[in-house]
Amino acid sequence: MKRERRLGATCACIATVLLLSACSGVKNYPEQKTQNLRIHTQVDSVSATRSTVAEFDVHLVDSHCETEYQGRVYLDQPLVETGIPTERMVYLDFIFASKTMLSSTVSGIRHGVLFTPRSGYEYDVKVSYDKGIYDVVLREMRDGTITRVIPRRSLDECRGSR
Amino acid sequence: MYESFEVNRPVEEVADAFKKRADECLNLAIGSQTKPTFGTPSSVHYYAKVKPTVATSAKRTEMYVQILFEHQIGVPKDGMYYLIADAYPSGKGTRVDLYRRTKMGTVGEAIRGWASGKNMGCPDPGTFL
Repeated sequence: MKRERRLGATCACIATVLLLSACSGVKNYPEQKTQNLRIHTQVDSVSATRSTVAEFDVHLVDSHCETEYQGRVYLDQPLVETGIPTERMVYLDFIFASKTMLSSTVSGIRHGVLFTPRSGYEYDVKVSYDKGIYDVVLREMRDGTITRVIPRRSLDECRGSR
Repeated sequence: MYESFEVNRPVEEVADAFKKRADECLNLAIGSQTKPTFGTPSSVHYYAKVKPTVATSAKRTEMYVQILFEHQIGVPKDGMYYLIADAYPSGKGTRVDLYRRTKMGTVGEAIRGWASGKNMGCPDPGTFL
């Protein structure tokens, strides 16, 4: 009886965890066949009491600048490789989330890049956060040569240009 | 707080960097949002606006950073001045004089990076607001 009760509690916990992850609206970006996006990340927190993590959301964007969420990539390794669709607009929404110890508040900075990746090209991103200074630099490359640096562009700019 | 430093770049390049980065990094609104475990998140409540202004003449560039918090009265239209940077030619390079509130340390660091061209990153608003 005791064992059954414990098993029931365990199942309830798992269900709660699943339910929580389902309700948060954030899902992992699925594995991609073509790896055309390489992200180099260097995150150093401001202090011992304030920790920062980096991640980004991938959205597909239609001609009306409406987004379709694809998932989140966690930049918890110095190098992360994934793939993004080509020949259509995508919006990469980089997030730096910081939390101070013993505080329930999370502060976040978003850095969005809206662009159309080209097939046959690779995209290399340098994401950094050091002593309160953050940067995201996205470069388009072909055969190891930088062909252009993709500037920051928000969805508001896209909507404003329609 | 006052600090002053020199960089080995002409004042025109420093001015260009200030114009580009100030708008991208410091033209922002700060808000808060509550995200409950279940249900819909609240709408974002914006409580502060940061406004950078860069003014240039042939031989001088000035940058001001103002912050306007909600419910503030008796302050300039776009808020109190939190940082002022003056850049002018000095020798073969540019001297930058910074006048800032103590809390604007990361903004000061970012401006050093923009002026030298060595680090074009943006200051995290969470560190100065």
